Amino acid sequence: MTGSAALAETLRKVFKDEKLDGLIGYAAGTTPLRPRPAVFTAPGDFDAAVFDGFCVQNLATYLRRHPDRRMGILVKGCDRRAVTVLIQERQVAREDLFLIGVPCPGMLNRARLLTEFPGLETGGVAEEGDTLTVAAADGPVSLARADYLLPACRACRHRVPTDVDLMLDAPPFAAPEADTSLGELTGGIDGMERRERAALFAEELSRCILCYACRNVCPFCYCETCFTDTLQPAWMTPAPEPNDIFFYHFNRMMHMSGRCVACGSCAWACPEQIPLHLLFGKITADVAELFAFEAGLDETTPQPMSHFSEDDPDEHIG
Amino acid sequence: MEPARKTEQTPWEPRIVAFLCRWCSYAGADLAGVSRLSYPPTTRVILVPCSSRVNPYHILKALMEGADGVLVSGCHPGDCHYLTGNLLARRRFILLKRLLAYMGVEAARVKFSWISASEGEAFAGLIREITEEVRAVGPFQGFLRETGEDVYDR
Amino acid sequence: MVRLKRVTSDFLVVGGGISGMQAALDMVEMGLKVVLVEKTPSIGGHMAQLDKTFPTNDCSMCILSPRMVACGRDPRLTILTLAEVREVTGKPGRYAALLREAPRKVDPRKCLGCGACAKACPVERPSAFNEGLVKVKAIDRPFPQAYPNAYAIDTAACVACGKCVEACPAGAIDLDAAETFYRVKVSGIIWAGGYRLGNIDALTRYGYRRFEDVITSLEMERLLSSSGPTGGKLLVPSTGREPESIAFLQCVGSRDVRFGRPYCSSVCCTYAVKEALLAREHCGGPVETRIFYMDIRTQGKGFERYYMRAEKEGVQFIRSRVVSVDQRNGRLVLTYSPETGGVREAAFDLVVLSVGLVPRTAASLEPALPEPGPYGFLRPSPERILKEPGCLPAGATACPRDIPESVISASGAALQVAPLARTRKTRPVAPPVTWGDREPAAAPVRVGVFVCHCGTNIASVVAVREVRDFAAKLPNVAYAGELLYACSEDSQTAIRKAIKKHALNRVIVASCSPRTHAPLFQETIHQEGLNPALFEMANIRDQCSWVHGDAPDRATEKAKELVAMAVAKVRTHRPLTPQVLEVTHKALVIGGGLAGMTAALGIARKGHGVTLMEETDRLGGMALRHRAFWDGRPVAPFLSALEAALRGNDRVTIRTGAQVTDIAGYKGNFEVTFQGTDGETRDRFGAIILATGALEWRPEGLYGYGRDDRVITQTALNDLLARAPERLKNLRRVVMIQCVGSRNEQRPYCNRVCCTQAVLNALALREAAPDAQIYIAYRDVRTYGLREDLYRAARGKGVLFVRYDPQRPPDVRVPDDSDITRPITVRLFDPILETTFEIPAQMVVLAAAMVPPEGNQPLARMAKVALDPDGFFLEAHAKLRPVDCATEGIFLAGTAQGPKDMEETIQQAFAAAARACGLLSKQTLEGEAAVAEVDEARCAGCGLCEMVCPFHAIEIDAKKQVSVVNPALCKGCGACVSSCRNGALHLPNTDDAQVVDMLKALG
Repeated sequence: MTGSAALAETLRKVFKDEKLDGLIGYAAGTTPLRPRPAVFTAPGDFDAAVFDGFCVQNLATYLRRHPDRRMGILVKGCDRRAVTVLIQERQVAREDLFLIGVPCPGMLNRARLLTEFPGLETGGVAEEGDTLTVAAADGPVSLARADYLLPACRACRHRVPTDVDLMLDAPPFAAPEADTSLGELTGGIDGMERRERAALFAEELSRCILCYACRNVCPFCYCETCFTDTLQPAWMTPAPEPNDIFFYHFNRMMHMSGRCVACGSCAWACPEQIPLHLLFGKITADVAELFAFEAGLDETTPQPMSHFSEDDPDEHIG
Repeated sequence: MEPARKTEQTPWEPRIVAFLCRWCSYAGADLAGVSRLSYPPTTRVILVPCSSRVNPYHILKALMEGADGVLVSGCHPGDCHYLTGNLLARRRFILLKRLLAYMGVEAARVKFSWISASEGEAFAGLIREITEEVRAVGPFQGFLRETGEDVYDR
Repeated sequence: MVRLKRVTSDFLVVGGGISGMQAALDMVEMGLKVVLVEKTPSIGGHMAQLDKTFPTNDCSMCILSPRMVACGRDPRLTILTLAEVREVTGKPGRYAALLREAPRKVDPRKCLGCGACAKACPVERPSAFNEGLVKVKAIDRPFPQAYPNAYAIDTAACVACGKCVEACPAGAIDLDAAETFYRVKVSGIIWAGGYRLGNIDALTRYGYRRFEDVITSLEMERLLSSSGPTGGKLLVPSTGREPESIAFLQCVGSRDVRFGRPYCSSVCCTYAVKEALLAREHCGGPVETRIFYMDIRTQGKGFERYYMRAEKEGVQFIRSRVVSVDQRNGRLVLTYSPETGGVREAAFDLVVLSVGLVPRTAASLEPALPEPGPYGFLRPSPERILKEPGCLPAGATACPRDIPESVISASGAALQVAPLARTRKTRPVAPPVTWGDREPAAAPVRVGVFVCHCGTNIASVVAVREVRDFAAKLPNVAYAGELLYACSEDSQTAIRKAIKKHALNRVIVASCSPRTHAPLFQETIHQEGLNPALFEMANIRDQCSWVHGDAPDRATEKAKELVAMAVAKVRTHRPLTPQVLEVTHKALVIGGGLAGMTAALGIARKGHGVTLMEETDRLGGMALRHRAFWDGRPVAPFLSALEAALRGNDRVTIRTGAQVTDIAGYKGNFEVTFQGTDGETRDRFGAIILATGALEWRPEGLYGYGRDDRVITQTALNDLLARAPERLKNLRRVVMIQCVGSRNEQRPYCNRVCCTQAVLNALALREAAPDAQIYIAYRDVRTYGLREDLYRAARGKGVLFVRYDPQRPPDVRVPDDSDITRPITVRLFDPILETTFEIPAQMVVLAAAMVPPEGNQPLARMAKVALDPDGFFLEAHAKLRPVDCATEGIFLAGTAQGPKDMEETIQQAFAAAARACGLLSKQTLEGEAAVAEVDEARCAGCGLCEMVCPFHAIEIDAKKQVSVVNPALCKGCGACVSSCRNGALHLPNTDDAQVVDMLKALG
């Protein structure tokens, strides 16, 4: 579907008909298999529009940058849920938005493909039905799409966005619906011994260079000043050490509780390929288990951290 | 304060930062004093208006600044001077406790309790208990310090 | 030269003990002027001498001292010490009193408290404060926390040698100072003369003054006190060693007709329990503590648990009568007769006589005083309570009372006389302390650290000097000093001087708990121009020296770190100014029983509007089911007079058939929603009194209750006696069973009223059924105070008292076939005779426990107040704030707070009204000083804070897309602050940056 003329035409029409100030979608990027988010502001821009299995990045992240303007936005299931969370948090107004839904085919693990097939370029992965055809160095290779989904997408149960203003046809490629859950993805760690868990995170997070790419792509990391950057109080030390890395990831997850839509953008953005889904998956699974809540499904159910129930368990005591 | 600094002549003793709410738990700690109930001098109390004032930042930061354990104590459910602060905090603390455990931090490092103004004995008992628990896991070495070798060499 | 001064005031309070102080403080709170007269050189009374107070073992001085300081500071309160009333004339509303103030010979305004005079003085005399256990000089200061905190000369001992005059660096001493007379015109008088210790004959009978190691309970308090003659070490006077065994003899000079003191002194059982517990705590080795008693009377709130704790901790209780105390081989030998008969002996190192209370009488006050009651107590009649009395007793002058009861009676008396004040309209109270007036918070930060010894409370464990030296080296610390008692008046002066001298702009007091003492020190620094928020405490006593006595070195380390943390925190404190709130000058009383009605009348009489709300359609509550007060006065006429007074008072609005469904707002401005027959309504009130009463527990299934109509409760018997006494005429045998559903595991409290109730009903039944034999099966007969007369009368009239053990309760068998012609069989095991009686009874009367109504829970939640473990409302402090709730603006009256009888309920209702009127008399109130603040630049307006705020104090400004805090509603809990991901919310002086600074200050 890369560079599909039909997509460009549809978006262009919406842009004109709805008199939008801008439309947020994806355009071909300069790095392999990494389409970039793009704000189309003129009818001529849409020729660059793409949508494929590498459009991981949550576009809701860019909504806050266009206050008081009528914006269109292309939304997969997780983008749509992020929009809902932002509406709940008064960061955007529904009436300012024109939501163009696209049923998500499940996003692909770019890093894995690039590792297994070094030298892949954009366009090197043809998506058709449930199969991927990779233009490997020694000839095309067929892969099952389901095997190459991102972890968060394997667990996703909300691929199709709801309550949109226009729903696009489903792309002609898709993986079967969820074959796992966030609880399952993180449950293995829960089952480990403590020292193994500690060692696992020590090892994975030891790669973190605190570049904050994960924060920058997150639709909910919209704080004016992140707690990592304040001097009063100075939570973190100037020369980051493991404590600081832990502090950052841990507290970011606390901030994500009840809000994270498990879009996987953070893990996708990580230059060190730290499996961040193990963190957001955990907090999201815990919130679901404890408070029977999934973020972004509707605007009216308040987020779990904004209130409490007298029947909440006392499991933290003791 | 660096954990390493505590290697001199004096044997290591656990150090526990206790965030106590003003109305119940701090009063309970006072009552332990008024009742002359002895407990180990391991705690450093930080008085907060309500347990809901305690942020995960505070808890982690305490450990990062050299505490070996952290206690957060508020009023019992229903007793909160601010009505429901403790219940609001409970949600936050459940998630925090779970995530800490998940990431491999010993359960003894961070403890939560509900102590009322009339529970001097419970307070003294709790301090004795958590002091021993922290003693059992030893000085806190910092987050993300446990390497794979520790695990696989066993 | 005799001087005469003329003074006009609103009220005269005679007696500067806790009762007099409380009455005076409540009056000044209500905006009235008061003259307080105290006979000794300092206010404080007996409470100042006590070591700890039961049942919480709070340090007596620690809770009293701030009150004394408050008395000393209020400009509306004139305190005359060494003064007595000579004569009173006039009538309610217009009294003239002649007072004589003996010469102190030391000018309190000049005295530095340095002690040079006492060092120079050659004359010794016994210390009154230490009960003569040590000698002090003729010129001395009564005790470190005394007010006025100046030395005084005991003219009886002084030889006028002039050495002190030479030694005094301040020129404060004038040996020729003469007495001063005052002619005081007032509208009313409170007599709070307190008590003296019982009969000396009774004491000598048990070896007092014959044997050095037989001491009074008050002497025991001094021996236990860290400010006492032995520095808190319990030492046997004759040997100077710790005792291995101590005997406590109860009812010495009480419950004893031989000495003209047949009444029960009410407090001795619990204080003996306390002294036994403290003795065990104080002694290094094991110590045997035995209490020889007739009945254990722990009838107060929380006392039964205290008694149970003592038993658990090994205090032995021996039901007996002590015959004599002798000395043999250097030990004291007690001859006593245990319950089971015979005579036994036991030897002890120390014998403590639990001496009773004898009211102080005041002949000079007689023209104004209420009718004298028995044994020198003053008991105002109900008529007097309903009319506006001009002179009332407070505290132990009315009956033997403990501290909270005294405080209650004092507050109550203050309210009852208050309407007589010359100016009916209360004077505008001095403007509230405006925290923000002077602002010396500018850089550079100069911190003063004051480390308290608390006598030996801290200094015996923590190396105070070391802590001070450590503090002196901390960053920004400009001064570090030590104080013997940081809370004493001279220490306040010392703190102020240091602030001035060292240009301090932040202050740390390292002493006890900020919960009890911060306000005192904050006021002190404020007097020196510092904003009270620029203050912190380090709790090195309650949370350090008192709990780490076994590890002094580590306790000292901890104290240093606590000080370092406090310094780290205070450095970034900002001056704060609380919000000034308007006051709605109207109160709501919830509950239209005796307590609510009395409180409402009290408030209306004081001149404020009041709404009395009752759930049912009738006023009166449980009092409608009672025949008589404990002293036999009928209830019905009193109740109808009370109701008539309420209905005749246009300040009173009565709402029956209504319920409170929501309470919003805060002290001074509560917004209450009612659900009544007329639908939902709302109203605003400045104060709320909770008077929801208690219910009689229905002992279903116990002792045949519910299976045989002849098994009834005491309340039901009351009804019968009042309405159909003829139905009781033919009764032959009646068994009353005490402690039904109380003093057990489920309800470990004493129901307080049932012993008196049983005895009273037994006496009435004696009249109604002359041929009936009445048995009372009891565990302890708790006819405390003057109610003992009833017990004696009942025994005199042949009522049989049979004790039972809770392990072997009476066995009641009702006929299976409900055949009321067949008797109920009651089998009683008598532990004295060790036999079982079988009584064929026609009636069994159960003393069922009082239980809190279920509605307390939702009401507590709405009013944001706490319930105690038994479900009654919890007072703010067991001793000194017995009718206040921890939530300001809400007060407690009657059995809602715990079991009590009708007389006590009336007292407490007046007390609650007094406290409410203190609030309603103010034009404005101050809100919280530390309220959440929004950093708009960082606020994203996400609305999380708005949702988490329990007080609805935050709203989002939709235009600016930022949070806005309403400082009048914010309570400063900080829930929003720690919820805010953006770091946009701050709680000043408990801010995140300060938490980090404190953590970094950890060694």
